[in-house]
Amino acid sequence: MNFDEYKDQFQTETTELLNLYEDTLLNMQEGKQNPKDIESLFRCAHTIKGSASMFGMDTISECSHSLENVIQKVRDGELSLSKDIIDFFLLSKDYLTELVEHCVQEKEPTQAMKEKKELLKEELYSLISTQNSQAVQHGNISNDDLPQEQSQEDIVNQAIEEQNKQEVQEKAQEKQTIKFTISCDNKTFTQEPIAFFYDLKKQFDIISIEVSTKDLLDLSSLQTDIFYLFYEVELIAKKHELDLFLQKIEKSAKITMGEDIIQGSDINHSPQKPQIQTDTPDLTPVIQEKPKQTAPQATKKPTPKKSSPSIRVGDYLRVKSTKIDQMIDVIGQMVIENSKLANHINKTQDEEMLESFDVLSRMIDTIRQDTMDVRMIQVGETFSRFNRLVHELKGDKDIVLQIEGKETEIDKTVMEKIIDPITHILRNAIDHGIETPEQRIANNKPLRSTIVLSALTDGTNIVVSISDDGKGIDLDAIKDKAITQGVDVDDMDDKELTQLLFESGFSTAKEITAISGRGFGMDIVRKNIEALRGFVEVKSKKNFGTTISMHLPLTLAISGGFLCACGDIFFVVPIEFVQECLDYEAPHDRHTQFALRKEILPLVELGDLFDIEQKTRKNILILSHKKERFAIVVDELLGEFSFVIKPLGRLYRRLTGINAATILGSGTLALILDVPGLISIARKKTKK
Amino acid sequence: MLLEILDDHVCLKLGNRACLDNVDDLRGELLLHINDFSASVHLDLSELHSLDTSGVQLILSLMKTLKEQEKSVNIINASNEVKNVFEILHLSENL
Repeated sequence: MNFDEYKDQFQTETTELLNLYEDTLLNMQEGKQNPKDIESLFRCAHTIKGSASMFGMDTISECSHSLENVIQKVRDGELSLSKDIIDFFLLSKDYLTELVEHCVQEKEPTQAMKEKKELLKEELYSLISTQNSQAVQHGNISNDDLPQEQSQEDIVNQAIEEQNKQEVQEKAQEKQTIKFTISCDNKTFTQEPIAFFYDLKKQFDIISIEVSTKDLLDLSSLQTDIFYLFYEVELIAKKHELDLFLQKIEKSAKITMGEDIIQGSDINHSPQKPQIQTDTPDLTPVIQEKPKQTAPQATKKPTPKKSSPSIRVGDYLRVKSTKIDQMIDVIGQMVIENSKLANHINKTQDEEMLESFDVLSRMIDTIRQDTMDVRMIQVGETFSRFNRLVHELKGDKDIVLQIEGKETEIDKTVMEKIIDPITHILRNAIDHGIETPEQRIANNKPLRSTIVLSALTDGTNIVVSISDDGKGIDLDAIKDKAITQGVDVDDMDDKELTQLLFESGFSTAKEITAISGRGFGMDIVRKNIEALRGFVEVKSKKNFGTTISMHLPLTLAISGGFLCACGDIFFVVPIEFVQECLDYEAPHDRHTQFALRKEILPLVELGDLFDIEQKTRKNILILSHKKERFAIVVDELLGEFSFVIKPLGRLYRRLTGINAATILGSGTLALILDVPGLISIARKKTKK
Repeated sequence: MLLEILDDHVCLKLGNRACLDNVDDLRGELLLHINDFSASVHLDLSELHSLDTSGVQLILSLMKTLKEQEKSVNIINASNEVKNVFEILHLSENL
């Protein structure tokens, strides 16, 4: 098999399995063994082992095999599911994730990875010996049951011996004659059975295939997307390879494994007296459903459902996100070219052309919207990754992470960019926000604290909030800290004081821990969110908790804007900030404020700010951000248009007042204004 | 689909596709005419070049229904593609 063709798919599927494995672990309650969860863990490890061995990735296959052995011990009750064991499983997941990445990139394992592997081994042996000694103390195992003076080395040797024995047994079982049936399960087929049978014949030594059409319904009752044929297959194969292969069709039909299996040296194309196979360790979904009867009832009449409201797997396609990004780029170019075309057509005033152009523009809008929808992902899967972070950082605190609004959809790029801010806020909440168990008892609070991570759509924005029920923000501490840093806090209200937390290097934490406390986390949060054209809001009540909300645009790639010019430079204001456009008679002296219907607004002259020579006739744009209004003075107002956001080069990322650029229909560059940045400039000017 | 009613039999010629996306339509058309078929039906598959499992099941189901109505049915002129698909699915003896 050509691995290169499938390695992306292998990596994606293995990552999904490892994520499921991690989620299952984090959902498990310490000390309580839910058989379903343990089965799920086992299945993940087993499937990874199977896929890896199919691609010849022995290191992954061996590692998942060892993991499978440990899970088996938990399943058999030989190991109890303590917090340490859960942590060991989580560490193993990290190691496997790293290993998969290395193997896919065909890199040799690094020294650090080798050390991690050794560490995991030691950790496992120490866990086994600790649990054994605890069992002795509790009288579950008598000293006589344990080998006398069993050293760690003995345990290691014993484990290796067990592993070797198992490998020998597995090798002996390699080639088998296996019987199985494929029958109607009233499932709609998502995998074409023709391809399945074609591959089956190519990949395995077939002894016989018998087919029956007894289950087939007559024309009036036939459901065209259900598989009705019944097959009885006998072949020679490696068990694990066949299990993996059969997964291809198990979503479309029912697979029933026969119990008569001839093993190893007994293989003969004319089946001899079969041996009955005892419990095999395989737990793939196929084997799990293994019924006790030797042959299925072919005569059983299927009763197909008239209509099924369930979602079919075949309705979805797995597409690489880079392909969608390429499409967005092309559509972006289409939007730009369309604007150019608009310029030309407006000059000609040809009615027929104008009509066609309108149709074309609407079509481009539809494609643009549809493609943007493809980029939308549900937040649930990414949010659930934070369970691990909470688990790792909570230490002695009893904290649960509650996720709300899992189905809320957000642009993939926005999602990627808010992972860091969420991580920072969660770290702060766990380390500083939530009290120690002693403090919570003293404050009459429940011992278990809850952090709610939620997402909801609000018009064209999405609001991601993190709420904790901790001690809240100590405004007095902020004031004290601000005074020591020379900040004038006399005129500041609570909202402004809270905003100080987002200043670089500002921290009220009394000690710096490994988790947080240096005062840079919240600064990064604000910068990242503002770079996404969003803003952060903080609400806090002493002793009741804190809520930090990030207001973000739903999408980033293509947006609506208002085009204006100042001198020879074009500027774009994202449309959501624009409230009004007005004529403006420039006074002789510079003003920092503008009176609008009895309201005094801060004023920013773009010409002054960017050192541009402005023309005499000026216009004003009234902008609003977080309910705060201000005015900017420009030369010309050119109207609304759709624009494709192009990030600025690294050199220009720190520019104040500008956060990206776009290309106009004429091919000219226009700068996208950073409205939150401008508002703080306006505020500072007014104060002066 | 082409239906030719002759004196002693009916010749039913399927079009070039019988796949999941059009099999339901074909089934509907067949159900409209099936009761008008005479005692002998010739199912001509010479034009059928694109066929998947749902198409195979449709043909087999049609044959089963006609047999239940005590009508004789023969497949004639099966194209190579049809033969290949039936062979892969171990159903060649139905041709």
